[in-house]
Amino acid sequence: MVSALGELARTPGMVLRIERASIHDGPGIRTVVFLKGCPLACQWCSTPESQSPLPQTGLDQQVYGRVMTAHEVVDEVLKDEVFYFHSGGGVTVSGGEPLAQSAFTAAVLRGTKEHGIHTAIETTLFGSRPNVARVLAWTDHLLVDIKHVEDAEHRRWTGVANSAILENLRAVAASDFAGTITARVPLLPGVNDDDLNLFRTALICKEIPQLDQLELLPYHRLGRAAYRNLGLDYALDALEPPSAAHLADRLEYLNNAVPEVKTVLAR
Amino acid sequence: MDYLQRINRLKDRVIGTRPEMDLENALLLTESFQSTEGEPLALRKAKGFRLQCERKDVTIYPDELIVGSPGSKTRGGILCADTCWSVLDAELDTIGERRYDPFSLRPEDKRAFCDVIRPYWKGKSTYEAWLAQIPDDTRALRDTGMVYINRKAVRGWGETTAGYRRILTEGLEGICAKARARRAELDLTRPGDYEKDYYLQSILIAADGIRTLAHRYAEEAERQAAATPDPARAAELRTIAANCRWAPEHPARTFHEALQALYLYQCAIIMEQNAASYNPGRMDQYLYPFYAADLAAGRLTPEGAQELLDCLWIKFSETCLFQDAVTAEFAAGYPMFQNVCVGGVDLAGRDAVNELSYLILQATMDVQLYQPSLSVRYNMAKNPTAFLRKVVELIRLGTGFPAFHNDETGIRMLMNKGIPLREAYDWNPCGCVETNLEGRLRHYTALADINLGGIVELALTNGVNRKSGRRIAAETGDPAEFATYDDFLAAVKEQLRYAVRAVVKGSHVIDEVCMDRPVPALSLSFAECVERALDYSRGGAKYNTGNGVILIGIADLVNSLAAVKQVVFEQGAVSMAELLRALADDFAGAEDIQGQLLAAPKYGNDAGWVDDIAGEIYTFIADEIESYRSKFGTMTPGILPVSGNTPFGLEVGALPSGRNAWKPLADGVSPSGGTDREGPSAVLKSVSRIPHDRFVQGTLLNMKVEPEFLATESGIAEMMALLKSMCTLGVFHVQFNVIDRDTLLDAQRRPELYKGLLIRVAGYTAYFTELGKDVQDEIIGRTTQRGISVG
Ligand code: SF4
Repeated sequence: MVSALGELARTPGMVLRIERASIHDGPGIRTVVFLKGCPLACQWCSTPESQSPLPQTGLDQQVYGRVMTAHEVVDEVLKDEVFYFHSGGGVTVSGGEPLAQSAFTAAVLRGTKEHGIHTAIETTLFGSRPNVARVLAWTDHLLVDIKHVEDAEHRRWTGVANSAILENLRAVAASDFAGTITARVPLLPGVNDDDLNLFRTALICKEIPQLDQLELLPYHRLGRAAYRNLGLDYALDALEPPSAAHLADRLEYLNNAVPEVKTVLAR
Repeated sequence: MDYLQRINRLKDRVIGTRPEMDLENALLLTESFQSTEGEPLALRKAKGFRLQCERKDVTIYPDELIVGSPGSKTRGGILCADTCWSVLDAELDTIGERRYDPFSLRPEDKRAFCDVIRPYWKGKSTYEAWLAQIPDDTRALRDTGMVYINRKAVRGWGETTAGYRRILTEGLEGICAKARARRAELDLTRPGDYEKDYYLQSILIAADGIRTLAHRYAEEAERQAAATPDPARAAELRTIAANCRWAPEHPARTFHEALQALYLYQCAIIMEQNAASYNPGRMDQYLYPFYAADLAAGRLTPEGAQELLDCLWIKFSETCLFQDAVTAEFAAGYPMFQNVCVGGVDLAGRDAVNELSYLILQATMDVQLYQPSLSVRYNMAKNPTAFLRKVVELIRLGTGFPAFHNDETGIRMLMNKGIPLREAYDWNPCGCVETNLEGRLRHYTALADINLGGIVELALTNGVNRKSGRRIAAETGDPAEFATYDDFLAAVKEQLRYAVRAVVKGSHVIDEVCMDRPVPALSLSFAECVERALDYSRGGAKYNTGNGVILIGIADLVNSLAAVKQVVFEQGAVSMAELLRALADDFAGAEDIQGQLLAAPKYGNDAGWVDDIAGEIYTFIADEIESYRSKFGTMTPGILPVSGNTPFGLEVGALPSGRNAWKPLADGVSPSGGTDREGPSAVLKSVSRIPHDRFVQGTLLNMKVEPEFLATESGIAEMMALLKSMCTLGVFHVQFNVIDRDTLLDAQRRPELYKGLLIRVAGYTAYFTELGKDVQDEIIGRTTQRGISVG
């Protein structure tokens, strides 16, 4: 603990917000640290305010983003220690893209881990190999988004190629990373929910020894308020979230097509 | 499930009936008292009670398996003539129309009241005695809504847990045998023995009354059995008859007999003195031997036991609490607060959860009526996880039940009342969230309430009531002269001291007045009352403590202190003079000041220094209350507004917390509505900074839970983890309201009523009414998509 203290205090990061008692971002009751900055620009992004690495001010004068040291973040995380203990929860560093601030992310995870608390990150794995390794060294649970396996489609919807993402994923799978991996597909009707894309996604998952499950994350439009506040247009305004029946159908398809991979709806 | 058809028919009859004043009880008491003039009061009360038992209505309704009623109506409000006849006198023309808890009153009853009850009881009730004797300083605080202290004079005892176990295992015959043996030991030449002699007689007469009442129900059941063409119903009626013939006169032999005897005794003590909070307590413990024996003998199945419990649950929901209009505002909803408890530990400190604990939880899930109040004693170290899971399943129904209690804290509260550990293990929740001990403990658990919003105001007005302009409290100095936060804090503490003193004085008067409120039917199940030949009212119970002094407006006090500390004295952003002017004007023209005050950190967000203020001030208040004794023992603090935060708020002007004038105060130990922005874990952390174990009459926390927390398997697991965390933190009690789809739809339609409604959106929390319609719809859709419909 003492060893890391100086480093933690010296490592600043750009934090969007910290949400306590979340039950959606990994096992148990968790504190989720949302960071600013994402190299992707997914058209469905539910947190547009997280994309820019700089602080922004909304039309309602709300400020998105503030500088915190890793030490300050860890102090905030420690507040819910008792809840992690009983639920098996912990901290989840999310984005934006936590790899975009890999030194800070690693410092937060390390600082938390030194208190014996479970750590997770929520990432697209879009980053350099050393940055991935630096962060995973302090990670117990990796939540990785696979948005599309077809490179052209990935570029079209997120603005970046998927090669680095898939290579990183394969590299982690082959590495001595001893934590667990949950793969997630944000399920968008007409974008990535067809049989072929889901099937190929599951095949990738099949090759990951650390995988616990594949989760379908139903697309939602709850981010629209933030778009408005930032004066941005929401490209997918007309896209309806998937129905319960459709979700069940996709789930059934995957569980039949690739039964080796446990596929569930994200909670 | 077949038995539910019967239950639903019984339930429909109750919810289809409008509450009505029931004067049968008062008329019989009056008749008896007219014929016993000159005799000792306890004897007169016992004879009056016996006459009620001999003559009262004994209707048995279709489908019932458990019978009995304290009155003559399905949903009757019983008037306790000797305690508070005059309450009805004052509301004769308005009781049917009043806003909280109206009762219809038939013209013939109104006439009987005017012709018989009023002329006889005028000048004789405890309520009148109280009004004549209330100390002046207490009266001034009461009349301005700074304290509420009439409660105990406008209804009977209540706030107790009778010795149900004794009724079931010894029967009236066992109790009478002891009373007779005690009488035989008396020597009427010895000073004091005469009082004991007539008191024991009154115990015997009351017991005779209960026996008679049971036999009359047996006769009615036999009559109906002979008359009904339905052989199945005839058999049921014959069982009812046999049950009432045997118990509670003799020790109960079966589960069905035990339930019947328990309920008849419950009727008896309500008849004797109508009041809220006669608590059946640990039913899963004292009924278990009957249940287990029946099961072993093949007389009963778990389903059969469930049906009987459900039938009893409906009976608990029948009686309605009659009280005056003001008291009804402080506890609205005809609340009888018959608190039933499951779980906890046994007398050896071991896990006490048994099959019956689950059946009792299921009864509340089946019946879903407002009574009995169901409480859980959850002992994290000892109770099984399966039990906690069943509790969460009940929570997700959205009825507000059960009241979830942290067992270890409850045990410590009892010990702090002076009960030894071996008996504290046996505690039970009482009324709302107070603490009690079956058949052994006497006190008023909630004698008086102190308005903490009012206390802050008085510290800022030098003791003058803002609403009336009268000086009603201590002069704590011109607030404009406060140079430091500590000056302000000192004034608040002085006002607290003053209010506590006034309440303690009032409590002593009530104690004195209530010495003449004998309750032999209640006392007979308290072993020591019989042994000592001393009534419950006079301290006959094994343990006695001082009355409960209750605090309302916890968050208002903390937030006001914190805002003054930060905005006035640390930042210097607002001067004391500016603050005082803004408060006097209810922030009119001073919206910027209100904004700064509202922006100051609030209790409920795990903000260390704010919660430190809470820890410090509530330790001070507990110390202060416990520094006084009554003739019965140390005074006892608690934090449990039932609905008193609303009427109290109407008496308090604007506060430094930023709250506007005449608005409700915060309830219980909960944060002020809409100021807790960090989610449930932060709320629990803040709340845990109040020294719960010191508030031995309980602390009450209301939390809202979003359906997502209960929608899925993992949500249930997280809810269980949340409850365990709460226990680890030493928080005493929590009760959940589920924010369901209907609530959200209503909030969309009438946003003005839901300004403080916080909801998780996606990774952040926002005021629901401030979200755009599209996002609101999406959130509402989310609750449906997950198949949740609660409430
Ligand atoms: S990766 Fe996540 S944060 Fe980045 S743009 Fe896509 S959805 Fe938004």
